[in-house]
Amino acid sequence: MFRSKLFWIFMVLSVLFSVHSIYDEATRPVMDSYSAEAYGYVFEAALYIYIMAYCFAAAVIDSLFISREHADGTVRNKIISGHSRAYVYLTELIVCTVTGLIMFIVNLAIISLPFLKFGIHGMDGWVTMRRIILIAVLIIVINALFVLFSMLISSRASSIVWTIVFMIIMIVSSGLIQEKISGDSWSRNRREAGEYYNESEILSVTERKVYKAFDRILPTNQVLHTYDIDDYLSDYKDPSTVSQKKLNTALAGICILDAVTIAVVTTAGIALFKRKDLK
Amino acid sequence: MIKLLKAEFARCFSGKVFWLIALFTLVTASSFNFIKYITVKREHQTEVFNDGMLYIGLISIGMIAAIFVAFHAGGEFDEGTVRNKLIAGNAKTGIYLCHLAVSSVAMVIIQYLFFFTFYVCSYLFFGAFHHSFSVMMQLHLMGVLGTIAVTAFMLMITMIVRSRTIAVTVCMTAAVIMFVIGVALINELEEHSMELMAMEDIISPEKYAILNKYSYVYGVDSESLSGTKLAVKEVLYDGLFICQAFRFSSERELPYHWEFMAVYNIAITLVTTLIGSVTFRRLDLK
Repeated sequence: MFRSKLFWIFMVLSVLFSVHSIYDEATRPVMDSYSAEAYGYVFEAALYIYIMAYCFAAAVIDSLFISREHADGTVRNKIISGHSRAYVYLTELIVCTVTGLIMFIVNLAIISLPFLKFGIHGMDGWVTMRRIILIAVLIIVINALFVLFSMLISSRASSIVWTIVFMIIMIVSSGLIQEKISGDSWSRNRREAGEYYNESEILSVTERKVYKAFDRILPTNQVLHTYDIDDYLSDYKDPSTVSQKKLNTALAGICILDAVTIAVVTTAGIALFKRKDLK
Repeated sequence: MIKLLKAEFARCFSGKVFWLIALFTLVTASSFNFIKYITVKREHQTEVFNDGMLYIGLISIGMIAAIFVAFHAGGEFDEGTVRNKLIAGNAKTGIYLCHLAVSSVAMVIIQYLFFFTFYVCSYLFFGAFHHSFSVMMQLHLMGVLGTIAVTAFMLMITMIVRSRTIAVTVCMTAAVIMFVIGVALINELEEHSMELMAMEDIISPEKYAILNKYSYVYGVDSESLSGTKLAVKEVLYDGLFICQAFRFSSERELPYHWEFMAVYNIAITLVTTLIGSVTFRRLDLK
């Protein structure tokens, strides 16, 4: 991976993207009252934009890297030389994940540089830490999903199409789920406060449970929630009323769910890859 | 050329890619209506405004064109069919124009397939639309020009990179970037427009009347957007097909500056075809 042009092209793009996202956010007009905290907001927005963009970048990197091994027969050579299919699969997963994490660390280092000049005013260390941990875990989940696609689809072009289309469908679905839950929570809170609310936005108990379950499990929902992570972890209650310990416990719960997703996806991937005809 | 064109059309309609995209379009158009129907029933809505969704087909045409063109035209380089065509005596420009014609026709068919499927399903579920059919057809005719422009752009990339894999990567990335730019641009200019709305005393009455009627007036500076930056964004607002498609979805008549949109679409088609065909002619296909 580290010797391939692909990695370095994406690394350069990632660096340019990080620099651009700081510049873009920093040049937006900021309300005077927030001026002391401005870079804290820029940093948080840059992290959110990075993970959104990484979803698509990972689709391309994983597909191109793995499907090239299919195309030039390297996968078959590895199996012939005595490596088990499970090891080949896991190796690809580890390589792609480590690449993703390295790119994230580089991005994190670049977007943190302006703190040297502006200081860390307005930054809540705990919130930022939770956001960074969730993004790191999401990078692993996203790679697990794309490695599954790439290991099973031999054609390079088809692999890219399916991964990108899959990501678009997932993000659109997650957006719709999030809209439903936000509408429901907003209307419920207004109803409790005795203010005007939209009755049609309130979901039934079963619907709410189903939407909430998807909101917790789907990695793309978690990607969208990296922006309002504390609202998400506090179950849309006022995060200032919830203790840090509870929020951290909720994050641990999300990480465990992600670990289960990784395990299920990887097990399914290995099982299907074992049955795949590599002729 | 006619023989090649016939062969290309036959290859297009006998291939899996076109029919898979057509199936995807049918499923998407009908499922949007089905989801809306469930929502309407659950929320006991009495009046349904579904008109804006008729243009989702146009909004997604960039991504669809990226996939279709990369597979249809890009696949020829991987399989070596382009060389066979050259050996058979076809000119490179002829091959390029045939691809443009076939891909454009295929994409226009997909565009209308979405429109009519959505229209029929929506009519069956919810009854008449609020907008007139003639306006919808006018907007979709504008959409045809945009679809051809997007297809020409994707074809230019595909014919230059000469690989299905790289073409599909670059074209899909370009489609996603254009979508993001389009959404950002629409949001920014909407904010700019809202700012202008509050400046009734400063803007001339003629310009304010235009702003009031079309929700946007060109060439008026606000505090947040002015000068060259505004001019560039307004050109993209008219010229980017994704912006046009978003604007169609909120119109009851032809949008303000629709003539500019048509000119930009034709210009994009001509320029990209010229660049693509000239570059393709100079390529060594050994």
